[in-house]
Amino acid sequence: MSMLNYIGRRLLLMAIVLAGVVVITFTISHMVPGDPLVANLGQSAMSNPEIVAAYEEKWGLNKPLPEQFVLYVKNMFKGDLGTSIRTKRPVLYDLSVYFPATIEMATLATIMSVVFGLLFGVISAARRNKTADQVLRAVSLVGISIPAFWLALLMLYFFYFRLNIAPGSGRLGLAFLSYKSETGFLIIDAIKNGNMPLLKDVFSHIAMPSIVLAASTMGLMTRTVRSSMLDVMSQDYLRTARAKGLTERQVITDHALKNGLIPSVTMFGLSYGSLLGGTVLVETIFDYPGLGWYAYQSATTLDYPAIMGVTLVIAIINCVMSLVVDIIYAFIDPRVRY
Amino acid sequence: MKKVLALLLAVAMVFVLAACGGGAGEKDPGEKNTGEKQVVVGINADYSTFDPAQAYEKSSRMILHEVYQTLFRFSAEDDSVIEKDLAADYTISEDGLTYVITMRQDAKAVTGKVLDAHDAEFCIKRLINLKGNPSFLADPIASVEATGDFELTIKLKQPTPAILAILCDSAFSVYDSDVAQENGATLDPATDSAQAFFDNNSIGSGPYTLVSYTPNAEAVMEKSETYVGTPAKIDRVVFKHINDSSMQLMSLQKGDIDFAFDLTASQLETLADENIIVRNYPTQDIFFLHMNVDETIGGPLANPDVRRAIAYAIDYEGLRELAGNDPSTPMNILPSGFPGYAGESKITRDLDKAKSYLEKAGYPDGFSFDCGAIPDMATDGIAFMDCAVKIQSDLKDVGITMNIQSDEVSVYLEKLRSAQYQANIGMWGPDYLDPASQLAFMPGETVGLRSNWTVEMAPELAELTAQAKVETDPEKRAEIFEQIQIMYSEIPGPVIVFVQPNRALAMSKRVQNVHYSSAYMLISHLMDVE
Amino acid sequence: MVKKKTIRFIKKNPLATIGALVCVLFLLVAVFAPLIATHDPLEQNFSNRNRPPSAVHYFGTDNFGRDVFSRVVFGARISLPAGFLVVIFSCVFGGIYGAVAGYFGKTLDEVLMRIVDIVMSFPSLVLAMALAAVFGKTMSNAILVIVLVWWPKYARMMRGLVLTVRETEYVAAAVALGEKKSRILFSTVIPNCVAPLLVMASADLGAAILMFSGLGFLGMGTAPPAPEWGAMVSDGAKVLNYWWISVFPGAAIFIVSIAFNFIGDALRDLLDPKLRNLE
Repeated sequence: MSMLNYIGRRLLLMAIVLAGVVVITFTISHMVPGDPLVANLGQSAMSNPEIVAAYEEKWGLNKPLPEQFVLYVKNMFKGDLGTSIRTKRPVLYDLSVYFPATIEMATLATIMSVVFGLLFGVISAARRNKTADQVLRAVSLVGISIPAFWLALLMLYFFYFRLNIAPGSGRLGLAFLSYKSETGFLIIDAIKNGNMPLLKDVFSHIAMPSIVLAASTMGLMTRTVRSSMLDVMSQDYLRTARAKGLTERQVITDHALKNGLIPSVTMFGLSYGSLLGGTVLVETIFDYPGLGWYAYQSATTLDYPAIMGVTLVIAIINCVMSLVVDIIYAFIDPRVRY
Repeated sequence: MKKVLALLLAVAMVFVLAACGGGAGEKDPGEKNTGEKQVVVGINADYSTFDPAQAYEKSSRMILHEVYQTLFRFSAEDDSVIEKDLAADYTISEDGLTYVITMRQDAKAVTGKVLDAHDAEFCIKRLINLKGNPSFLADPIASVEATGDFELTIKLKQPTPAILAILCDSAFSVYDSDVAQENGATLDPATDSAQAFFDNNSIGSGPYTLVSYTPNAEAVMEKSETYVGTPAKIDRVVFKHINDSSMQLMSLQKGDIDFAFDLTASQLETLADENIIVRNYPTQDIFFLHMNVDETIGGPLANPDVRRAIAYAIDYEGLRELAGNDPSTPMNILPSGFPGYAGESKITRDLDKAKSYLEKAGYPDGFSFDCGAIPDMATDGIAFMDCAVKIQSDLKDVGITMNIQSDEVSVYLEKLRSAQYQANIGMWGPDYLDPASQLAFMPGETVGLRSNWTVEMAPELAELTAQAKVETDPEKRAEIFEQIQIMYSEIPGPVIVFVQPNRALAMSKRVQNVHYSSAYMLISHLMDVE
Repeated sequence: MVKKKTIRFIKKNPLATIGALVCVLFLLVAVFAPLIATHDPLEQNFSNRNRPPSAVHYFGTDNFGRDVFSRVVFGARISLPAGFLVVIFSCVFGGIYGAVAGYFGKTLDEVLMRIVDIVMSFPSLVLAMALAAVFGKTMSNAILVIVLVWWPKYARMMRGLVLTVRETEYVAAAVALGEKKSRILFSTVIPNCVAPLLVMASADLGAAILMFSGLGFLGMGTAPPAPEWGAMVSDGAKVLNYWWISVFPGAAIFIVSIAFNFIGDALRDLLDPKLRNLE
């Protein structure tokens, strides 16, 4: 099968998966015993039947579920994800505000976890069962095991409150009050315009949340890299290399790394999705206005359109990531053929 | 390959440096631009819109009241006093049905237009027609019409003594109706599209203008040059959204914000900072245990003696301590601060009495029931769940097992509205500052029906309620309200009120002349900084 | 001889050994909680609120005057069983699901695995939150909710294992003997895959406990006043000046989870060559 065929097939499967996601999310969010109406109308307004009727009409809540579903899907194809019942703004607009914030954070967290994960993993494998290996494994396991919400609290307490070297909540400091982003991505804004104070402010706000977010994927990355490096290092061609008289360091850097890092590509793809999910806890604690925060707020108020929007976006990213990973895999690993 | 490793290491180090070196660059919030005065308010705000016809969240009034004027308003000094705002004078017809309001002729909106009766008519009609969240406030109004350029006539469906208090609500804000219509405002909910405009702009005559609003980040007001009253002293007020109360606490202590709105009692206890003062402001909010009086749902709770037993089993003193900020416990549904208030509750914890009532009711060994409460939600610094946990422990002492059902707010409200709860921890803040707002607790009324309390169950009380609604003589009215409270306790009604909290506002010492009213919360235009 | 082996194992796997010891310790704490706790974990004492650690209250007291130490001790009775149950249920359901998909193959496999893809592409915590709101908040529901988002990874793993076992001689022999397909699945195929699956699953115990406490922290786990560690951290987070209310339960989660991960890491290493590609 050619590469193009393979990609086509994968895209088709992705569409099926996304359709499934839409159906399931819709069902779950409408299964809830709660009523979005009461969460968004005051008690007294609820006792006025006219207001209730007007509200139901406005949000389509008076229609039977299948009809609501069809309507939703229709609008979705038109690029309309509905209007959030809680914020009263189009979900797409809300997502366009919160999504870039989270992507920035998740991307930084991924960079950190990849950098440290590779570093630790390779060293750990090279020094297998030596002290360095034990220490690095312990560090990576600390990253995996520490509750993100607890780490976030500790960091906030020490670095913001006690030491005052990091700012507290939010995405930007007061110096950038009502700053309107051009791209949604503040880092890109800052670099594009050479706005150093902005860049500094963004980094100082994003540092702690992304470190917390990175902790666990860094650990997983270290583990994956270590084990695949070990696997490669035990293989025949490396024995040949050693037999040629190369030092262990040369063996690792010149031969083992290339092949040993392949599985970490998969890890990278998978971790991005789990990072996005992990933002719920981290963003809630740091009051960082991102997707996870939005998801939490929407889930507690049963804001169906918003919940649907968030899950859909994250599901799409997960699917695309796994597709990209598979394609990259096909390119870099000569053993994979379709 | 060695190079790659070195590069990775370098990248890693650069990032760590960037992360640490960033530091907190924002210090004193007042010194943003030299000469300009700025105050930053840290709040877990529930507002989501600043369209006067749509906004109903309490915190939205804090901004609406600053950017728009209403016909009447509550005095900033004392919110039981109603002042004229846009109104210059008014007359009430003999039958109490027609209000003719003469408006002042010098109130200029930021758009440059002098606001007149036609604007007021449009704004009130839009409120009524849009059927938004606050529209029910206009329920008593039969018609509204500009009978002159500066004369507005409001006709009521029935005599409503509370109408002036209702007109003080920010829902009745008056704005430039021409500019509003240019931006999508209509009198028809199907075509009205002005909300987005109102969320980012203000077109009123208040002391401030809304310059920007970023949901869940901040809302910014700047001083208006067109306000007819004493101009505001602070040039810019920033409402910074800080969800988490401990974050508010830290930010206040660091000097990043001037006000922390949502601190809990234990957080305030730890606040020993010479630059911060805490002031308590009275609220008309009440927290209560709400019990279903329908036997099929409430079970034992439908028995009046069981409710009496529970009333004696609750440790009010402990709950007040939990609430902090020197709160009180009113007799029942009418909070102090309203005319007709019958005084504090005379019931204190008495386990022997509680047990004897339980015996009388036929439950000498107690019973168990479910009680709904919302997790992670606090009003006036009081967490609903904390109250539930405390009451659960109190009732255990007389053998009653209370199982806490932790329900998210939407689920909670749905169950409450359909009267499915056996019991729940509830909170009520008056819709408008008038005792009539509390009549919702009466049999057959909104809140009464949440516990299936019908008119038939307490006909006498229902009769008093009907009288209270239309009585216009202030003294007689107060008397009726007093009787209502006494009768409610005798029955006893489905609600046991345990706390009427104060709102504790923690603020930086540099802020002066702070006014807080339970109607509009912080009055920005009166405060100043050193 | 045995002793020597043990010593060698400890030398080679110091982390796993520490992990095992800590796990045993916490299991003992859970079992003997009433004996270890110094107070009733639910008893409130308003004259003694928010007190720092002392000789009477080792970990101090919380906002209701409850003894934090006793609550942490009793918390082990919630988090440990929760972690085990999550893993067991996910494993059983996911395992059978994956085995069926892998063994019968073809269209059934295709359909079943697409369902797995769908569930896996959900953001798990968001899905868990929505489900928790639907089902209501009790410990059993919190466990159920996590199982609902966890089982797919075991399904994938099991499917992979079954695919390799399917081609082995035992199965060929069973087929030759004319046994029924469903019988072969349960009598021959699954038993041959169970060991590696269980090892993988036990390595996930730490993660299960983390997820459970995460739900608790968000107020979506057990209902108060249960001394659930995540919920306790959330209580304490409100007043960081009273650091002991959140630090100790948080530390408990961390220690238990890292102990399980130490063991899991060693187990993974043991089975590595066979499992790596299935993760």
